Amino acid sequence: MREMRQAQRASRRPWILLALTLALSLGLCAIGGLAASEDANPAKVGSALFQVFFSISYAVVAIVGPAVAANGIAAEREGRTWEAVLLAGLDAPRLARGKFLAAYTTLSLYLVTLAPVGALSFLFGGVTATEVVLAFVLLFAIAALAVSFGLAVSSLLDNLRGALVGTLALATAIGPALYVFFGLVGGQLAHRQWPEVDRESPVWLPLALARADVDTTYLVGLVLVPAAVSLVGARFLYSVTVANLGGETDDRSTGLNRWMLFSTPAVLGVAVATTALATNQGDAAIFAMCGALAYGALMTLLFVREPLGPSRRVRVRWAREGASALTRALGPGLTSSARLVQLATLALVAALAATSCALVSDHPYAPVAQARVLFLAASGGAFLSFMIGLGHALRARGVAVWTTRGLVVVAALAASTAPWIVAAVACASAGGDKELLALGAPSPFYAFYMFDQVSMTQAPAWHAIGAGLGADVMWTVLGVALTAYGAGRAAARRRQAEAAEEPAEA
Amino acid sequence: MSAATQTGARPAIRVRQLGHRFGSHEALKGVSFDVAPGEIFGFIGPNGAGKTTTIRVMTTLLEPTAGRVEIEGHDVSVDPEKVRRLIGYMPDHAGVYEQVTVREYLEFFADAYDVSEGGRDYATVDAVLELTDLAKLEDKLVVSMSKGMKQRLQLGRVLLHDPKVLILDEPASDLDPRARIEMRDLLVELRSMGKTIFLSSHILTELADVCTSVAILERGSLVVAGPIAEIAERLAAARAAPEDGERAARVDAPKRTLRLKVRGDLATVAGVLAGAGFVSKVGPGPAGSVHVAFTGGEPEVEEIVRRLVLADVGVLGVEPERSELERIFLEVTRGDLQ
Repeated sequence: MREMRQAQRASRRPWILLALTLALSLGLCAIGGLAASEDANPAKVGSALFQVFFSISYAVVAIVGPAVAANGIAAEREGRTWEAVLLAGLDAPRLARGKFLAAYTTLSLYLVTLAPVGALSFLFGGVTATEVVLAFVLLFAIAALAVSFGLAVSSLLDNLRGALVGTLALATAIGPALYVFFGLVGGQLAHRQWPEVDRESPVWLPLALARADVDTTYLVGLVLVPAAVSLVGARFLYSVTVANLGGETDDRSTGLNRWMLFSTPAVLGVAVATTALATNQGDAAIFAMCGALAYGALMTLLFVREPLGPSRRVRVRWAREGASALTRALGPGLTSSARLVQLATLALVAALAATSCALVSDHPYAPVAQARVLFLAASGGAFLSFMIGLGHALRARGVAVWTTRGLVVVAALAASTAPWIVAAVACASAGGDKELLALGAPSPFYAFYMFDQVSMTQAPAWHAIGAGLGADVMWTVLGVALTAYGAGRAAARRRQAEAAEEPAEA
Repeated sequence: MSAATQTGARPAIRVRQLGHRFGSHEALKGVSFDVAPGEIFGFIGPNGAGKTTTIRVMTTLLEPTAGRVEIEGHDVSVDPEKVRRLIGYMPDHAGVYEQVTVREYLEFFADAYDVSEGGRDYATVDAVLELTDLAKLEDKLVVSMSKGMKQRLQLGRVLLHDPKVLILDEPASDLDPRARIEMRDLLVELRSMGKTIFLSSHILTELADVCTSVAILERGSLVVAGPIAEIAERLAAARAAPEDGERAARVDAPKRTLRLKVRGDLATVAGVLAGAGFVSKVGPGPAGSVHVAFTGGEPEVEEIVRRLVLADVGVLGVEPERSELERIFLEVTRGDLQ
């Protein structure tokens, strides 16, 4: 409420709203005019206006939303009002929810102002009122995610300018990528599944929801999967925000670790559903496995922020509350979190590999499709194990969080590319001996080369497959060794820190 | 140690072996002191001495790497929520929400502190507005207020939940002389209401007038702590019987300067004091006063006045050029760059 009052007194807001509405109205009139001059069919003009309006609105929401939210936390920190708010007894979850509501209300005001312009497309025809309403519902949902994203980035930074620039830069990079992936590519896939949706419809979900027949595919593909993806994303952003708002010695781990426990099965479910619904299940299984491995890499970069162990404050709270072993396992601690990430990601990869193999068993090329899934799972799982071990070891040695993340990413990039450079040079020096490409086996992308080594018509190229599996064993052993080293080092440093906590005088 | 330790009463603030590291930098090294209930305790040190780190630990915003801090018997690391209800913290250069009125600002924090019966009763806000003399400005936008008034508003904010202990970091920095005086008077009034006030500053004159006890911090270590008079006595005793070479070097008998207001001219005063061996220089001071430089303490001051009175020189006023606190500070700190 306080933020609303402050915003209400800022004189520029009505002018921004007016300018935005006018610009969008004029833009739509121009597009409508152009569309009508080429094809006078009002239904086609209406459909074009619908796609254009909601695409532009998406862009506005994807950029304005994070920027509005970024202002929330960073401005408090920069203005030195943050400590007062914290000490007034407002905890991090309450603060995060308050900031979310304030920014979301502001953004909703923009969307409500745009509603009459959006309804123009319905007047022309080509889209129904239900489709327009569903598109607005989707827009409000995207707005909620955009605001959550802005808050999560803002919660990392201490100055307003940095938060605004950082949030806008990330939103400008990620927003179009998501539009291409979920809008343009998703639209093509949706058209294949539900022909009622036009082929070139980036805003396809409201059309599919309104036009497709309700069946299992509808419920899974149009309701459950989008809902799961949105919820997992929203919960992740919320957990990151809450963790960043807490003090260094507060329990900033439990929320994120709980999210991981909740999101891992959700990611598995989405991956399995995507594979099951796909027309080409072999390719879909590979695509889903890539998604699961990317999720594992994200988890790895996330857990390295963990402290060596729970602070005295957290330990005393656990003792008072009689915290269970599970609560403690999900709490702060570098080694416990590393184990959790290792367990969760490897279980996800294994479960997805097993499910995918079962799903493609009816495939005409089932053995090949299954081998490919297993190659990718083994290679990705082994390399993730190495990344987790490396992150664990670096942090246990006292390397800073962002430096550790940088080093892990650099190591991953180096391991991905360097073996291929060596293999290519060796292959070229040996007059194009392709067997030397097996030197690229340490690269996690070697799995894709292994795909070509199995087919239904030829005998497998065992030397290439053996090299790949050998590299997987190497990364796994390296990962386990680094994890063991990290655990020992973290335990020693932890003992040292706990000994220093006790005052000499009682 | 302060009065609390001597009387056996539970101190309002108890700091024991407090240490904190930022990476390889040791910001605090084994700091220990007590603050008795109802005291105005001055926390002094040059910039970078570790004052703000100590305060951030005391206010639960930072968990120390070593040692303990207790507020009214509650460990700040273990019971941060309880401690936050007991303290009112005003950071240095803290900001305020600009586009709200004074009343809206205080009502927001009254809601946050949960002292407004769910937003139905703002009697606490009314009381704080009266106490801080902001009632006339309650509908004024914060952005249009002076720094002194904003500082007053901050003080009002930290009083909303009626804390027992006030922790104020440089409360008078950036204030004009009038606002400083008003702030000082307000602190004295709060003390009379039973509040314990922990006041950090590096402006010694600001503290000398109001503090009952002080602690001096230098390079992350506590140099001295306790009531000002007691510290002065301890230092005098240390000068008389130095414990070791280093200590002896730091507590050599101090050179002091008195500012005298006398009926008579400079030459007469110089003539009268010429025979006193402890007087090193007699010179002109501001506004017709006379500066007398000497080595020693209160007995020497007494002797100077006695000689002047016996010589029939009317003494209108005697004041040290530096306050007791300033002398203590200069005596116990090295003044190295930090």
